[in-house]
Amino acid sequence: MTIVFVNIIGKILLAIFILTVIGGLLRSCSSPLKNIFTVHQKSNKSVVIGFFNGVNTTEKQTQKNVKYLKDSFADIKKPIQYEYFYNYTDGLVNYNLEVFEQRMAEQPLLHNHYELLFDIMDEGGPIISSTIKDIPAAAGAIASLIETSHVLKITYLTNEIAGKNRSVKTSQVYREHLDKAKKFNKEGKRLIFLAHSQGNLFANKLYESLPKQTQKETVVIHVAPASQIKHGGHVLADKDYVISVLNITGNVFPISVKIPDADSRPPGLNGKIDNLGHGFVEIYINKELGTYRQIRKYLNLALSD
Amino acid sequence: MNFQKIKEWLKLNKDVVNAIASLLIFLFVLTGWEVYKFFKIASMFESDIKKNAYSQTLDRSTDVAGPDINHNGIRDDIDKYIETQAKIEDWNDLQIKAVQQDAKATQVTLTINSQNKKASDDASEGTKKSINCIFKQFNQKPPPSSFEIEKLTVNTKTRWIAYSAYNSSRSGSVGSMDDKDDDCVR
Repeated sequence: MTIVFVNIIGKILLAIFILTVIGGLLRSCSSPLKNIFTVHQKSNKSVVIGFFNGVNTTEKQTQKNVKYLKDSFADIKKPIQYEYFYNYTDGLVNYNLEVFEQRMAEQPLLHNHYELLFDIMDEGGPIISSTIKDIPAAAGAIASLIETSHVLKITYLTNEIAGKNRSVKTSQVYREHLDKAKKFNKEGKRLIFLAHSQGNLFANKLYESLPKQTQKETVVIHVAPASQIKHGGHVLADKDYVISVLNITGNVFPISVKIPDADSRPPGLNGKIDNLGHGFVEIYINKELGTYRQIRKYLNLALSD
Repeated sequence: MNFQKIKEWLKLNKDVVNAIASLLIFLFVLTGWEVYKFFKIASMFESDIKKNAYSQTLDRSTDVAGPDINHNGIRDDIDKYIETQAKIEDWNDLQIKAVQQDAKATQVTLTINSQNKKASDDASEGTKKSINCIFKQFNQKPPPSSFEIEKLTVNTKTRWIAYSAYNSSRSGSVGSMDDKDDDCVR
């Protein structure tokens, strides 16, 4: 009885030994089997979704957008770390400030009402509506400011695409983004870039600066891209009036999805409707619209890679 | 004669009569509820229009910080806005606290020396926590009015310049939006 028992234990130990040796050989050999093993390792890496914001966005608004982004993908079971790669368009904000100050000199009713500037740069919003209710005579001046702000935005984006807005500060932003991306990579995390509008220029630059091996593992999803280069799938709504204007001045990517007209469009997660069809939360991650479904398709693909 | 007949019919069809009466009571209550809701919404809209007079009541003094008589870190006019909005939208105490935390965090971004990296990082952490807290207290669906505070705080040229300098100092930063237990200040 004892002999039989010892015999069985011996065979089990021998089997464990043989399996350990085979496993070790597979890990160390340079055969195609090694590649299979490596791919498997990659798919188990934890994921970081990096969001790149568009123009005229404060850091606080970017944080809020990422919160909505996280919320809209809350049903994904895989653990995902949401990060924002922030960029601020000082130049454009300063232009808007200058124009606003000049116009206010002509329209004393609006004197020092700088809270309007956010909505003017967004080309609509509750502060504008309430100010017009309070000061109806200011409606014309506000409309004119919105028009000017729109032109400034388009000019800025056109120059940005052409690479004319580069400054020491821009290079510094690129460097800081790259340092952080490398850090994530070092921690064994896989990167998925989700870039909106001007953020695409920053995402592209970061992607191009990554080491080749990291590039292979990184996925870029271009949302309303204000860029002429892309490294992954793109999503662009037919009624995105910011990017469609850019299409006249510089080549941008073709429309990928149709959305309803502004008056029949459901509000986004933040309860707001964007008449320009360009807002990240109002349009692109609005679960009722095809734009969200397209982003989701690219994301699912990236996550199952 | 007719009355007698009706009485007899009612007696015979007691169950039907009861069912119709119940249905009528149900419809009456439902209509009453809808009418109540209509007036509540209408009154909210009315208050909303009144509330919108804030463009006339915002502090437009020349300094960045503005008046804060009760020293709670929130400008007095913004305090007033939160108080009014909380009544209009029926926020509970935790929701009011979350919005106040956000107002305070926004005020900090304007008043720090944005060239000081540590101060700038701390201020950014402050807005991150306050946003997480607002989402938490409003069950992931914060009302748009809770996010108007940023615009109302940055309401003069001096404040815009200060806020722009802060955001410029943040350009290039990478931050996480993961929820933490201590997001809401106690």
